[in-house]
This record gives sequence, C-alpha cells and structure tokens, in this order.
Amino acid sequence: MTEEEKQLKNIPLKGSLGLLALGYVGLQAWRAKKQFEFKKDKNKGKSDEG
Amino acid sequence: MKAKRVVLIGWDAADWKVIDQLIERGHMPTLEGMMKKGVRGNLSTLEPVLSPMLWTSIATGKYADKHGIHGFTEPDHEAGIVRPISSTSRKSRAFWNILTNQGKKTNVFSWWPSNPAEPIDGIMVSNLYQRANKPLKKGWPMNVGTVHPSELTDHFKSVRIHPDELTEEHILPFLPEAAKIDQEKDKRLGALSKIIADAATVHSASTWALEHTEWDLTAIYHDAIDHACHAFMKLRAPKLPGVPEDLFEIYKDAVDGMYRFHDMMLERTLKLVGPDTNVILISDHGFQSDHMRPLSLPKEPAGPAAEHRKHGIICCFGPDFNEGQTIYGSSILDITPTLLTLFGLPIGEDMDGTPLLQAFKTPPTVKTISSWEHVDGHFGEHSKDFKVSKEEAQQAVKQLVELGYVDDLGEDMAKAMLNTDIELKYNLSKVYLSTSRSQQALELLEEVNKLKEEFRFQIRIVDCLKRLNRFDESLEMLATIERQDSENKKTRSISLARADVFKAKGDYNEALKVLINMQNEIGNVPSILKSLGDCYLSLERWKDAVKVYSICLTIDAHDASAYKAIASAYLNLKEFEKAIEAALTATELFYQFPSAHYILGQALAGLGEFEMAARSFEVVLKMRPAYSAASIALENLYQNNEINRDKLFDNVHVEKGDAKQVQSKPSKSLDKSSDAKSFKGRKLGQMVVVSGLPRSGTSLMMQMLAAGGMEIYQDNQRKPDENNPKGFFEHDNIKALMKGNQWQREAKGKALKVVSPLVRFLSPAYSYKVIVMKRDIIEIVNSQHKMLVRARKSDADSYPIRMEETLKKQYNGAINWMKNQPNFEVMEIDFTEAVNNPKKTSEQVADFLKQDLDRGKMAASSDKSLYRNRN
Repeated sequence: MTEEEKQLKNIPLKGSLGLLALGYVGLQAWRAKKQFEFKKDKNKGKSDEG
Repeated sequence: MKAKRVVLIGWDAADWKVIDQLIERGHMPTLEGMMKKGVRGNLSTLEPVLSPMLWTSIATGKYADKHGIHGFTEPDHEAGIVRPISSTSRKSRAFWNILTNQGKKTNVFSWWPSNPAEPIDGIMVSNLYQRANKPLKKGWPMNVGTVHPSELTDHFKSVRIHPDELTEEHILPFLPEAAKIDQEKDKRLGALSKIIADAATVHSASTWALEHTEWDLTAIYHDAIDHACHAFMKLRAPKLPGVPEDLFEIYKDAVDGMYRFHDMMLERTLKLVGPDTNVILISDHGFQSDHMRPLSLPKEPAGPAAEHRKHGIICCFGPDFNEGQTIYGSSILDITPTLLTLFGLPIGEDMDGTPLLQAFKTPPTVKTISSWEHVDGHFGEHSKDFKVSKEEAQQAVKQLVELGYVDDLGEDMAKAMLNTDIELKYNLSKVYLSTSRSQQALELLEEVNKLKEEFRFQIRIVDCLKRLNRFDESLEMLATIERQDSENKKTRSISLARADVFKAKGDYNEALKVLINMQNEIGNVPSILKSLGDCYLSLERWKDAVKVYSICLTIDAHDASAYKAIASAYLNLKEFEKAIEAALTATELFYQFPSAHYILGQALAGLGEFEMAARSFEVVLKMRPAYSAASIALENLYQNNEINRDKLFDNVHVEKGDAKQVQSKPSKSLDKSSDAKSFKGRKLGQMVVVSGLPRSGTSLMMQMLAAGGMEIYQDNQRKPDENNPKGFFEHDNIKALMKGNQWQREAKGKALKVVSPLVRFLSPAYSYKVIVMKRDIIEIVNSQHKMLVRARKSDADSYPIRMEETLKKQYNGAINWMKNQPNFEVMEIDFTEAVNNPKKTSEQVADFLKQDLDRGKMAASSDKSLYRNRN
C-alpha cells in the first residue's frame, strides 16, 4: 500500500467537497488522491503502450 | 478555575431566516445541534451596515468613531494612493491585543480588516490571505504581512486552495445544473469558485492551527455567505418577479449550498475543539431573503449594503453557556465584552457593549477597567512607524474592486483619494446619526456636500436640521434639492422628508396632505403607509391608524413597528385586549423594543392587571433606564394601587458579583419572570402539554385526552401506522417550535403533544399543565429502534448501545427545566401503569387538569394490545 493510499484510508470520504469541509487534513487527502489518480492514469497509459 | 478555551466563528451576513428553513429540512444538522444545546438570538447590527466597520466593532466593543475604521478603503496621502482599510488604521485595541497583554494565546483567521497581520501572541492570518486574483498558472504569491509569525508563511501558503483547482465535484453540490451555464457570457461560475476556494482556504488554515498549536481563543471569519448572498440571493427561491426562469433554475440552490457547506465546516471545527470549548457563532448583519429582497440597489459606493438586514445571528454553545434558551437584545458591540468576561478579564468602561450575561449558565462577575487603551505593556500591536508598501496597497485595492465592494478608481488617483475621503466622512456621519449625535453628523455632511454635492448627503442634512429643530432651514434645503431634481427621480424621498419635517414641527395636517397625495400617486408602499399611520396616531385618528398599519402588515407580516403602532392605537381606543395582543406580537418579533413593552404595560394596567403592568414597565426601564414615562407609570402604580414593591421584585433577577461594577454597565440580562409575556399568558391562555421522550407513550395519553373530550391541537398530517395505530396526534407547527411559537394562540385551551427536547421552546406567554410520560428507557430505545427499522433508517441487527444514557440525560434535563418554570405545572405518568391500570391514570389526569373529562371513556381508550416493546 502506498503512502497516499494509507492516508486516504484514514479519512472518511464524503466526496471532494466533503474533503474540503474537513479542512487541512481533508485538503491534504484530496491532493493525495488527485496525485494518486494522476499516477495511476499515467501508469495505465504506459502499460497500454507496452 | 482555569478559563475554558473559546472559539469565535464569524459568518458574514448569516441570517436565521435562511438557517431556520434549512434546519427544518435537515440541511444544517451541526448548527441545529449547537442551537439545541446552546443559546440563540438575534444580534443587532450598527449603522452603516458595512462589514469592515462592523467586524471592527465586534473586535473592539466600540462604535466606529472610537475604533477608527470607517469604510472599505482609505487614502494614504503620503504614498499618494488609495489602499484597502488596514489594521494599522484601527485606533482601538481589539480582543486579540488585550488577550495578548493578559498572557493568552490567540489565533485569528481572516478577520476584517487585519492586514498586515499584527504581532500578537499566537497566529494571525490576515483577511487578504485567501484571495486569488490571477489564474493559478500565473503564480499565486503570498502578500507580505499576511501571516504572523512570518516563519509560518510558507506553511500557510501550502494549505491554500486556488479556485482553478476546484473540479465539477466541488461545484455541482452548489449548482446541480452548472452544465447549462454558457461560461462565455455568464461569469457567475467563476465568482462561485472563488467564494468556495476562499472559504476552504480559511478553513484549511484554521483547522490546522486548531489541531497543531496551543491557543486560548481562536477567531475565524468567513465572508463566503455574504459574497454568495450578494451574487445569488436574487436567484434563490421563491423566484422574484423579473428573474429569468433559466437563471433561476441554475442558481436557485447556490445560497443554500453555501450555508450547508458552512455547516459541514462547522462540524469539523467542533470536532477539533472538543466539548470543553465555548463556541460563539455570530454574523454582523442578516440578509434579505424573502419578498423584502430589493430589486435594485442604490447607485452609491457600498450600495450592496442595501440588501443587508438589521439582525445577524448569535449562537453560544459550550460548558459555560445555557442550554436551549433564546437570548434577547444582543448587539455586535457585546461580543468583545462577552469574550473578556469568559476569560475573567475586565471590560473597558469606554466600550459601548456589555457582556451577554443571559447566555451564561451561571452569570459571572463582571469586572471593569476605565479603559484598555491606557494600559502599558505588550499588546501585540504594530509599531507606530509601520508602513504598507504602495505596490501591496494597490494590489489589495484591485481585489476589492473585483469583489464589487468599491468602484474602480481609475487613473485619476487624486480624485480617487478625494472620493474615498468623502465616503469615510459620510460613513462616520451615519454613525453619529444612528447614535443621536445630530450636530456632529451635520458638520461632517455639510463638509462633504461642499466637496461634492450629492442627493444622499443633502437629504441627510435635511434630517439633521430637522432633528436639531431647525425646521425652516430644513424645508429650504428640501426646496433647493427639489429644484435640482429636474428629472423628478427623487420626488418620493423629498416628499417623505418634507412630511417628516412637518410632523417634527407638529404640523400634522400639512404632513397628511403631502402623504395622501403620495399615496394617491404611488399607491400603498410601506414607507408612505408608515408615515401616514404615524400622522394618524399624532392626530388621534386611532381607527385610521389601525387601518393603515394593518395594510403594512399585509406587505410584511413580521413588521414589529407596525404591530406596536396598532397596539398604541388600540390602547387609546381603550381596547386593551387587542392592544395587549398587538404589543405582545411586537415584542415577540423584536424583544428589545422598550416602547412596545411600555404600551403592553399601559394596556395591562388598563385591564386592572397592575402587577403585570408594573413588571412590563420594569422591563422597559431595564432596557432603557432613562425612559421617564415608564418610571412615572411605575411610580403611579405603586402609589395608587398598593402594589407590594418587595413582592414584585421577589423574582426579578439580581446580578451576581460586584453590584457596583455591574451598575456601571447595565446588564442586558432580563429574567424570564420579569418578562410581561409570562404574566399575560396566565390570564389569557393555558394549554395542556403531553410530553416525554419520543415513544414513551405520549400518543397513548393524547388518545386518552381526546376520548375524554379534550380538544386536541393536531393537523392529522402524519397518518396512523404500525408504530402508532391510533394516530400520532401531532401538528407540523409543533415540530417547527424552535423556529417560532406565534401559532400557539391557535392552541389555547387545547392539548398538544410536545416531545421533551422541544418543551423549552414553548412561549412563556402562556401557562402549561404538563403530563410527562415516563417509560422504561430500554423499552423506549427498543421502540425508537423498531420505528427507525420500519422506516428503513436503521439496521435491524444493530442496537444503539449509547442511546440509553443520552435519553436519560434528555429526560432528566427536560423534567428539571420544566419543574423550575413558574408557568409550568408538571405531573409524571408511568406508561406501564397507564396501560395496565387506565382507570386510575384517567382519574389522576382528570384531577390534575381540573377539567370535566369523561373519565370512563378515557380509561376505555387505552388499548393494552398496543403495549409492545416491553422490556
């Protein structure tokens, strides 16, 4: 499990707006989630190419 | 004892009218919970209703002439620019300075105006912190001076969220139909994104600090509700005439969405601060949200303020605050004195507010000091030679222009500086006018009118001259204005002002002529009707006055001043019952209304209710000690009616603490027993209340009362079902009791079912015989659980373990409260006994109520087969 996944696991997910309403910790989680999805998409792109 | 931590949250423009609607729909559960466990009330604003002035009055406890913040921007003559009003312009110490001096750590977020951040003991993040004026790709630097201590600047920079970062997932909860927006033509989506990002940024910074720093007080200010209201309130339901259907469909939920988002943020804040913290939520003013929404705004700087309403909100919750109470007569000036009192610190005698003692569980000792301004020591203030750079100031002005608060200053800076100076003086003149300092207001207005002749200055000069009894000059000035108004755009304002001058002169017939002409030409508009009604009252044409003010009420049913005027007319017609009814409604709508209480007292005296009348006059004198008519009336009552003065004051609240100290700052704590409302009710109305926890057998008791012949207050909206096969005996009005209790008149003499958490919200105007149903808590929990399972709101296999303790507390709290109320008579009935021995219960109930009920039918109505969920 990556760090981002671990962090996300500990945050109650209420959707993106819900994460903003959680304040600092929610913003961090939301950014981590964005980063995680971005990396996932990038890796998916690479494997598709491969 | 160590003072508890305090969180002060500011929601600019938050208004109970919107909040209550949302709570009713279950859309603001956090604030609903705070309200139930805390105190709520209206918070009166000040004139002019401009946020930088108001939030500084909140932070200092002083009027603007003392604190020195007079508008949105100010000229910097040295630098030759106009800059946003800054913390360096404040002349008075704010609560964060005083707390710093007293060794308390304070965190302040986004308070208006707080840029540049002051070097307090704690964190200050200024009001310019969250603003994003350029696309993210062009960079988003932090302004110098935004953060104290400066070492935290990079950290706070990283916890901001830029509008460009928001996605459709953030926007759609506010605007489900956002996809229909043509963003080329309609820029509102961008505005909404900015508002959301601003709020989220302030919340992100404050939640970090709540969790990761030591603090005694945290103050957090959000302007998002105000900005959302200015942008979208006109497009909210109910649809205003003239609003295009497509725009309405897209934006109708934007304001409500912003309130709901704030409730979500509040939930997180409360979770972080924990139950041992005192929380105060306030707004500086309200916002018109119904048919009173103006369709057009005055064409003057700060014109949007015309959409504001006089009353903001206050909700206090925490270990030192009362539970389930409504407080009256609070002003934004009272916040700093209340904060200082919470910390056991003295309030300045030069402060214009007083601590809100009525909000406290145990009213604390109020200490005073002549002034905090002359105390030496470290206050966390800027040094006197502190300067803001020209570039920073210009950038900040640009933000205000973009937000629509100030006009674009254009290239001509000298002209802009002059205009800004004029606005500041004009705003200050409004402060003087609102505090009855007409001569000072006149001098300022004449000065600005010389610099720039404008109608808004001139019409206020007329008002000042009138107040100073300079009637001829006042009328001359009006004639001049009229000649200048070649397009007749100001005719209505001029005519109304002329009528006012005639009235002030005592020439009511002349005023009447002006007003009747206006009514014939323009029709029934509140300003004309009220002036007309006022004339009729002065001319002792009481019936005409009632007629005119009644028309006013068809336009705005919540107009307390119209009710007061009607009460006055009925009083003079010697129709005392009607006068009492109207005066009570006026005080229910707006409690801090000494003249309405005075009329109530006179009407009660007219009915021969001298003790009640005396108590009403006493309320008047507590609100306004110099109300001489009330003093005379009270003295007459003592002399002529042999009222026992000692007995009269038996129940009147006496402040705890040092009497001398309290005397120097008259408290706004008005004890319930001194409230005339509670006495009138004993004479005019009694109700039978069946109460208890939900599922404790309240419906069974209602059923018995109905069978016995008692009239039930119910609307049959909720049909009988498996949970209550014989019906619920409820009324939707009762469910909305927290929102208002004016409907209770309809329930006089009837029986109504009010679950125990709502009992505190019953009007003190009536007396109550309360039958409280007592049932085994485990049976109640089981019954509630089954009902929720049937409604598919709970899982059949789960059991709410902690519910028992909560319900016990709820029950005990409610029963203790009721037993302590002078207008409540309480009897507890055991549910099991009522089921097993209905005959005995019927006898007990009928005896308690002293009513001629059919005891046999009552007993027969109890159906043992319905006793389920038994332990």
